[in-house]
Amino acid sequence: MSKPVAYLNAVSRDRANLLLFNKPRRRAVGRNREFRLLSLIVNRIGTFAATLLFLTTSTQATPANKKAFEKHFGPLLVESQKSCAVCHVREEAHGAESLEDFPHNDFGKKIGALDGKIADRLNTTLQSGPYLDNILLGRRPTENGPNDETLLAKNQKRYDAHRNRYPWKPFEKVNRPAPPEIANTSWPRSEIDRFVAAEHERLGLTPRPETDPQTWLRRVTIDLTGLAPTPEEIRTFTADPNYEKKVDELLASPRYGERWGRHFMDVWRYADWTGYKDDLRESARHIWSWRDWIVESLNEDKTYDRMILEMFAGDELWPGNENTLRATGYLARNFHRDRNQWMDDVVSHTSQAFLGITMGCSKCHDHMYDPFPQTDYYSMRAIFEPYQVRTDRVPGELDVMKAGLPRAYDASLTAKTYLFDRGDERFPNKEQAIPPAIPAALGGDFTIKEIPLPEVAAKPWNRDFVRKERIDERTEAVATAKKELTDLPKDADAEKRKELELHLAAMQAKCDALEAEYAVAGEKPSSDEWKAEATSVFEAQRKAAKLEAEWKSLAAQNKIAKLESDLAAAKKEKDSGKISTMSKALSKAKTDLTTAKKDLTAAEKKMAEKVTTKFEPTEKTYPDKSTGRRTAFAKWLGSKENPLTARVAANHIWKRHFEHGIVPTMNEFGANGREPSHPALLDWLAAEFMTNDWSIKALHKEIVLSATYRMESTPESGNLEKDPDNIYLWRMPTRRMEGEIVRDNLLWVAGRLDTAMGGPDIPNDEAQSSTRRSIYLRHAHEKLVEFVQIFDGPKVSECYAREESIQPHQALALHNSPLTVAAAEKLAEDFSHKENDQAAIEQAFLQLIGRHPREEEAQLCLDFLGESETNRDWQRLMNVLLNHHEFVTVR
Amino acid sequence: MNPDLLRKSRRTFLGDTGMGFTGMALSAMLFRDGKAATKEPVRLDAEPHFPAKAKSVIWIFNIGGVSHLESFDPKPMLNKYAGKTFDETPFAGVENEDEIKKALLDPSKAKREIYKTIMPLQTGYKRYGKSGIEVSDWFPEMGSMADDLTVARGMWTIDNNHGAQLTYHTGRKITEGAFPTIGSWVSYGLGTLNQNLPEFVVLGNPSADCCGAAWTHGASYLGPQHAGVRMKVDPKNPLSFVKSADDKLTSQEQAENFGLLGKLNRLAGIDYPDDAKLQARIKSYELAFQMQSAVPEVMDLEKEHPEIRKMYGLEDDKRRPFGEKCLAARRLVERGVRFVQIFHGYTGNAGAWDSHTKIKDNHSRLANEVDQPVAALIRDLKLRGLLDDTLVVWGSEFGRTPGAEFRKGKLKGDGRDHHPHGFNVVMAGGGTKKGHIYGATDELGFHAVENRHYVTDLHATVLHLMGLDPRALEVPGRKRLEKDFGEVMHGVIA
Repeated sequence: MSKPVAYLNAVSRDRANLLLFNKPRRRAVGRNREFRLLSLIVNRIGTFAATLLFLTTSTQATPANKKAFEKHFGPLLVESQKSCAVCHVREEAHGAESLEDFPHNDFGKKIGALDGKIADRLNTTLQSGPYLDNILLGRRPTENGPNDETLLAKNQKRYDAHRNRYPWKPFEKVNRPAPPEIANTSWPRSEIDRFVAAEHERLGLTPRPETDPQTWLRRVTIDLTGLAPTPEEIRTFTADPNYEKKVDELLASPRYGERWGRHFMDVWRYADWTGYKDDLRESARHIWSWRDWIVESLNEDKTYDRMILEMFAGDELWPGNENTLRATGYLARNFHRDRNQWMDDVVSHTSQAFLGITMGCSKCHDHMYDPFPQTDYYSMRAIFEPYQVRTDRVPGELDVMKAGLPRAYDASLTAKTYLFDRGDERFPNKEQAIPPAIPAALGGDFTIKEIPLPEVAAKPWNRDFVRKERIDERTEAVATAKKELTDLPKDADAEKRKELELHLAAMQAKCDALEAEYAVAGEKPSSDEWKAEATSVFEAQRKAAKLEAEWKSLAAQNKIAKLESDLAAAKKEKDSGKISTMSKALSKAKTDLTTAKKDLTAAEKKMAEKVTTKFEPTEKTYPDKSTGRRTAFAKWLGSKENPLTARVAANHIWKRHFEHGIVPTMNEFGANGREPSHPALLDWLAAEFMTNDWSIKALHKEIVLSATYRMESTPESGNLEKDPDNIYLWRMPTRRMEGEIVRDNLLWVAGRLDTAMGGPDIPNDEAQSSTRRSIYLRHAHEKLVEFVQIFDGPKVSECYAREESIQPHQALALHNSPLTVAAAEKLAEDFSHKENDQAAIEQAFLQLIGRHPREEEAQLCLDFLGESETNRDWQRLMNVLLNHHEFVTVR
Repeated sequence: MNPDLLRKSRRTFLGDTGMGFTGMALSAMLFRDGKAATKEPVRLDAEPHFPAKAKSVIWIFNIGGVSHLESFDPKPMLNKYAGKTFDETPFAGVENEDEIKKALLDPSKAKREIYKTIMPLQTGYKRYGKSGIEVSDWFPEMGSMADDLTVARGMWTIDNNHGAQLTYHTGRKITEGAFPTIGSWVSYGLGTLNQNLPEFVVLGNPSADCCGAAWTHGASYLGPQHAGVRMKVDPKNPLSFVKSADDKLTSQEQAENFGLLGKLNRLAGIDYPDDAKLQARIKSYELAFQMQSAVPEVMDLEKEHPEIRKMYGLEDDKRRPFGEKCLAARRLVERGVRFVQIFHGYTGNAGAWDSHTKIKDNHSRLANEVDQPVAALIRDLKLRGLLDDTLVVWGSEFGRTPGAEFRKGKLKGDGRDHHPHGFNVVMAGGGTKKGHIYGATDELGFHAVENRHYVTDLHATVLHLMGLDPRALEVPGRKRLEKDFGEVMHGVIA
């Protein structure tokens, strides 16, 4: 068979067609070290050169193609030029590796003839002939033809605009850009607005007018607290609209932390534990303590860099502070019973949530888009390799299955990380361990220092309350055993009495052993006192073990005797149910006896041994040092030098006020992400955020007081035509409440919301009966709140941005759910007794949808109530208003 | 801008939605911006552009990438040269990496290694029916329907990772973001034949969010009311919150509630005539009301004759989950649903079909889950005379490589990698040819070489069969690229 040629032609044809797909993409971020060096020069030459350097230095250089031209000339060429043969005809281009290889036509020859860097040469060449004009006119550089001056002027303008555009360099340190000069100087209230206005002016958009105070109030109140303003609040504010005071008030409300806590829980992947009975599969029991830390931290406006330190390294930096240790729930949540999965989750989600990079891609190979070699993934993993999760006791409960504090700690100071061949954990390269490091491409300081830990971290069992509760528990056991013995009838079986006597002796011995163990904990190891105490522990423990085994052994024997006689009786009665139960119990008692006897043999053997200081601690002692890797990482992450942390955080905060992130791909700021709409603004926000010492509340305040945030959300046809998706914010976007907030407001507007804060997660199947805020409901794999999920609730595995759908299921949930019906009943109670229907409807509108009804609306409602209005009519009307589009909508 | 709005003047919007009151705020609405509707409607009605062959589509998507080589595109050369590299065969150079790099559009993607050691076919093939179409032994039931199938073997796509799942539904790369999916275009173009059910229904878990999430059944700028409506096939609980917690509420009362709500919502829209979300919400309530009775009815699969249930594999635990979806799909199109999109193989990430290792175990197991139900669906539609105007499309985001996927020789190469350069899609009914093979890959199944079609060509074909011209579905303010429209695959049309 001849070499297949047909497909080649076919592929070529399709390739040409495909170029039409080639939408503008982010300028490539340097992908290797060489590029980084060259980028220094690029800064001076401009975007244009960057493109070419990228092409010529990349290890996977591609022929000069349309993409390169697009990067240089901007999107205008996408429209006007249909193939990469703009300057290189296909046959000539065959086999070419870079622009250097194109001396095939006049243009290429010109480039080739010059000395120096290719970028300079291309620049010089473009300036020397009609080439640039030709390209701008949509022709090959060397083609001749009539000049369309209008087109040329138009494209020249666009070309200039493209070259002068803001240099968005997310992997380079944030520099605060100066707000742009704008014509409409009366509009801005904040520097934010100047960035927004500049885009309006560039695109010919007219910002919508400032919205009325009432609409702004509902918008900002729901945005910051998740709960709609009350009629009283609306009246007070509209009578005296003091915007700044209102914002301060809202930010000071404890509801703020609950509202924004949920946003951060999305980004940080909050999930309650998954598993069955004793089997823990994912996250950690009692992880809600981390949720409470999030809410509290936001409410007290803990700085973002401090939050990072606490979450990643609270156990290293504040090891004695249980409140702070809750923060390491971030790490505890990443627990997965498969350790490799666990480590993968930590690396890939930490990089996405805080840095907006997809380090997970580097697990199997060098990152395909960004300058992160495969080793970067493993270096980051090495930061987390030593850590494990444990549950520390909390006062009042010794059983950590019932209550406790899940927290991170470094279990090993020498944990090694190996690169997996192609990310396959079966093939670690054990020849070389990968040391902990941050991605070199992002720069910054990363210095690891081992951290000594106080006793409280190493010996959590030696905390006062734990000691007291444990000893109390043993003392109580002694008392119980004593009581049982005392209560035993005088004529009781001798064996039973002996059993109870042994029980008491065993309990007493165990209590003594524990007390001795705590006594030794107070001595300096290896001192004479310690040796003496340790010897006593050794003796007390073996004595206790022997007594316990004797007691258990006798108890089992007694039980067997009793069961055997009972069983015989049952057999006589032919009671098959009893026979079965007793046979089972008997079999278990026999097993217990075997175990007890085995224990007894061991205990007796131990009794014969020489007395030493090598007692067996009843509790685990943890390392008294921590690697400090996570502290170093957290410091780097929360440093002002870090190029991404502030940008990514500011983008998340912005998104939750304006529907879209400035970078629309919230977790991807790399080359595979999408272009920011307002790159300079995002840089400004990031800089401002850091200048204000990472205060999230300060950032909110700046945003919600801006003219941008105060605009109406009404349409305007001219703007709609130019920017139908409102990417450039000529109006305030209209958003739907998140599922949790819909549920919260169903409770809130009816006055049914229980504002109690914090505490263990409420079972998800109680979502319709509980009146607590949704943030406190269980959120775990297969334990999700259906009502919230119907309104596009978050996934457990990840949720960097929620999507908004409108489905008939939402209508049914909102109309038919017990929550709505209960709310409507309560509201009907409140309203049906009012004297004046008109006034009641007025109040209901204000309470439920935050505005007064129009005349026609009020009339429709009155008609619905009818002449013979009943409480039930009111109930139905309230249900209707709770289903009003504007109830779930933030205008 | 919300395209639906442009399809109607604002006046007709109000009129259509039952706002009879004259005078009322209409003037305010029409003249708020100083002028009435800004553009002439693009299409005033939802009639097809030309006579339709198909009324409904059942679009079955197998998540993760089905091997074309072991389903509908036999390549004996893979057996002949098993274990040899491409270079050791007469087809040396077939892969042509340069061409691949260019075709994939994304230079970095070319980093994906091309496996050149040929893996033999992991299953046999048989010829079926009069047409003699060869179908692999993993799909015997679909084989038995060969004379009703059209197999398009020349498909190709642009992304060699699972972002192709999105591409398959929108024609765009994942990096470009969300675009209208084929189902949403049908919904937008044709509307519904049954007011009680959504025109675009999604069954099964859609592909994972790493690859597009709702984007594979979303409507993007066509507006949320044209997005797929997810429905569960759970006979015990067919629709959540289907009954009001208020026991006393009668259906009549609920209808009145919804009636008032509709009026209030329309009034609220006066200031927001372009609000696609509001329009979608209004529609969602109207639909929800009807769905309360319609959905439990349509999802009551117990009503089906035991033989029919058996035919769909409902008695087999492995086949039941997918069988139920196929049966539900038939019941949905029977009742006029325009587009039913069924997902198979949801895993939360790449998808079940993604067989980098152990393709034999994996594909044979998955094929067993889908083969009988899909064949039953086609047979059932045919028996009921519904196949003539119902188009069934069965496919996945790409095929799988002729070469065995080796990992530095340490692993036994028993899987196949992603393969976007040539793969197949199977169609039945709806005006497609019967017992027909269309297009071809080369002898190794590497490149599509004959009647090559990009995924949007499939979209164009679907729309064409439904009587729609994609170019006439132009949406004002939205620039569509040439390739978005696709080219109709006339060769598959009867």
